[in-house]
Amino acid sequence: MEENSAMCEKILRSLENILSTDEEIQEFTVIPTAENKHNKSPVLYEQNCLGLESWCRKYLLQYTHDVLLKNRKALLRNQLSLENMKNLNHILIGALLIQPNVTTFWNMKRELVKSEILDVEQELYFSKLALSQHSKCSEIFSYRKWLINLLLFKETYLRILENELSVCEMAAEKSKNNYHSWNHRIWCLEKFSKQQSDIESIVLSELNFSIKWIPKHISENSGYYYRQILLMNLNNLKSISINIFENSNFDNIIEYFKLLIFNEEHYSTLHYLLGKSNNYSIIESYPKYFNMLSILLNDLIYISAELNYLYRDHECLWNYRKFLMVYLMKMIHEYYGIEFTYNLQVKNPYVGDFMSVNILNLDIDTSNVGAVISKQIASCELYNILIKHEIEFIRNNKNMTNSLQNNLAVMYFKWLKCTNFYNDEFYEQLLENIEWGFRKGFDRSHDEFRIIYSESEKIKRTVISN
Amino acid sequence: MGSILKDVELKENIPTTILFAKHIEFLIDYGQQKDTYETVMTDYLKMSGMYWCLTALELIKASPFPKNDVVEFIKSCQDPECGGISASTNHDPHLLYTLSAVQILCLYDSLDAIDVEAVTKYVASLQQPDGSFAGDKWGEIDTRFSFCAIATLSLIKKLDVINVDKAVEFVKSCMNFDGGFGSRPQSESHAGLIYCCIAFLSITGRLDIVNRDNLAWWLCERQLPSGGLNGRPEKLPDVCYSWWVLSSLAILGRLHWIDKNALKKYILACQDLESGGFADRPGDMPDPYHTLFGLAALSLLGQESIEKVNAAFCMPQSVIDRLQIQPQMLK
Ligand SMILES: [Zn+2]
Repeated sequence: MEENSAMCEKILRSLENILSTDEEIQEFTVIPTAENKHNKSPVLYEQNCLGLESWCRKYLLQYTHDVLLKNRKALLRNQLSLENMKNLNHILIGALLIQPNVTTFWNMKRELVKSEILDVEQELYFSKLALSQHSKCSEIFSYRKWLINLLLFKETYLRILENELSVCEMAAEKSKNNYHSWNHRIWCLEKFSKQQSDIESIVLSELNFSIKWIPKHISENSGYYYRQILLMNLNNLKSISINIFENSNFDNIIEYFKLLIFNEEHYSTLHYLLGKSNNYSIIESYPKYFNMLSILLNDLIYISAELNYLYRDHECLWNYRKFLMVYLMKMIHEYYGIEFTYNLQVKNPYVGDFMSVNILNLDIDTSNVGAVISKQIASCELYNILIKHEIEFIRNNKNMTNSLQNNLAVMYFKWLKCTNFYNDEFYEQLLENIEWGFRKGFDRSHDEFRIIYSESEKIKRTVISN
Repeated sequence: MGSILKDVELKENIPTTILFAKHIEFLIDYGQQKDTYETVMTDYLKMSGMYWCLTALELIKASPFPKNDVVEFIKSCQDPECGGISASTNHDPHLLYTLSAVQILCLYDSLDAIDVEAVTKYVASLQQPDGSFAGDKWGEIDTRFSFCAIATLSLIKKLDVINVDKAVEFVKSCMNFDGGFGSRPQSESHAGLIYCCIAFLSITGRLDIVNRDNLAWWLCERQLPSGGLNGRPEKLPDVCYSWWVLSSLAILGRLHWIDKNALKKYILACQDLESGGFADRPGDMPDPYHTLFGLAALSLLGQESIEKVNAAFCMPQSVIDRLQIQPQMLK
């Protein structure tokens, strides 16, 4: 026991020493090793990387827990001498690098920071290192938030934000769908947007980041979700200048939808798509509508559609598409001053206890639930374009030989049919009203759902025949 | 190119019945470990570990641990100054472990063993002006802690000491367009946090603020061809998510919207034939956490050999009835 304590002290001091002299360490790793073969130090340190051989973990764990818990209450009650307080840090470093989810130990660090024994910047550095090995650990992010609040209490630094964003990216790269890391990123955005006047440029550079991130992490819902948050934040900005997006973005849209207009004047496109508004506050927000439409439509026809083509079978992509559709619908309604909350109206066939099937695999009867489309919305060019385009998009994906993509398209269609902005009859009329040339490629049996699992089909048949 | 659906394939030789005797052995073994690497490793959440084991044993009607030892341990974890309860001796008090401790004491009908008044004050002291709850005095905010606070106060019958309307307002501000909830306003929807928020609203009787079908739709999308449920799009199925999704659907009165037989088959497949206990996925290491949620989910699915579980508290219904608590459940 005594022997182990001496060994642990040596290891812990060596870790502390390296951390206090080298401020450039990028990574901490525990290296799996069966046992201590060569009787040498388990601390490995080279080229900005710090490693610890795993054999010593159990000794360190036991030793650090014993020492820290023995001193816990004394520290809390201010009964430790300055010297003894300082002597806790190397133990905390070891304990938290091995097991960073112990809140009590982070709290001890918090107390040492408050007593000015530990330095905030140094702690941001240490916790970043802990994150490099335990990238999904919520307690570390929690500690960082606490530290940042201390810093912001004094002053606002754009530098802190930039550092946090890079820490988040590191943690998000290390663990897929890293909920805590994305949450932290969103928290920072919110925190700094309150402090920083230049939030517009932060949101824009983050939109840029996200457009690069998504194609490289195609099956990570968190990445798409972050983009949703950015779009909503953009929409909430008091004023956005008219030309934050390249005008060519709108040229893409015009070309894609084959609109019969020229994009010479900014608002002519807006008037064509949404109609001229008489409402003063809407007219005042033209720049916002212009920008939001530009980015939402580009996401819809390029990001969502293009990625769907390149990388099939991704629920996340369809999920993001739902968001875009709902958000566009919200915008259209808002423009016309009509209250809109997205609602699914599911009129499912009776599924009793005797039946075991996921309702998404059933033919959902929407025949008499079809949404009520108001006259204003029905005559809005953008609304018509979107509805027509969605059905076309679903069709194209339903005709794939690949069954997973096919299923996703079928599910999406069911979802669309249950929304309170889609109506089958309206769609039929839409087809009647547009010129024959546009109707090529449509056939009328589009509302036939396939039952996805043969098992549920069997169950359904027996229920019906009973 | 093969399918890239993220799911597991259930093999031929998977368990199809509940291995009761094995689970009892597994849970009791776990509870009796002392001074091992594992017990040091899990010391920081010991109180919750005990709640998982004891509740699981109660659900399968096995004789629980000696009551006195457990109650004495809990008493030793209550902080004499702030009233909060910690995960283990000498650790810091936290809402997570305060709830676990109160849940265990309710199971044993021994609430008076601790200073209930002090617990009340502790929980109330953590409510913030916006209605949210911090997990402890250091201020981290999460809807998990809103749930812990409300569940604790409801079990000790002290809901009136906090501002419930404000607390509901905060949870509402964490709702997303898809009907789901995250850990804070603007956080991604996540099945675990949806459970926390839905159970919170069930206990406070405010399910009226939920967009029921939007959310139930999203929850149904979590079921994979293996029958298991995941917690977010394109993630693997997991027994604990099966519980969180399922209990939320149960509270929303939409349990019949998913394929129950397929889910049951998946959960049974996650049992460990040799050691007993449930794992997150078939073939993985079992642990008490997934064992409780596996058994609780089977109970919600109507397994008669398991005690009825309450979807909001994840405690035996008989205990909730004894305490005369009636969380709101939609029909
Ligand atoms: Zn799990």
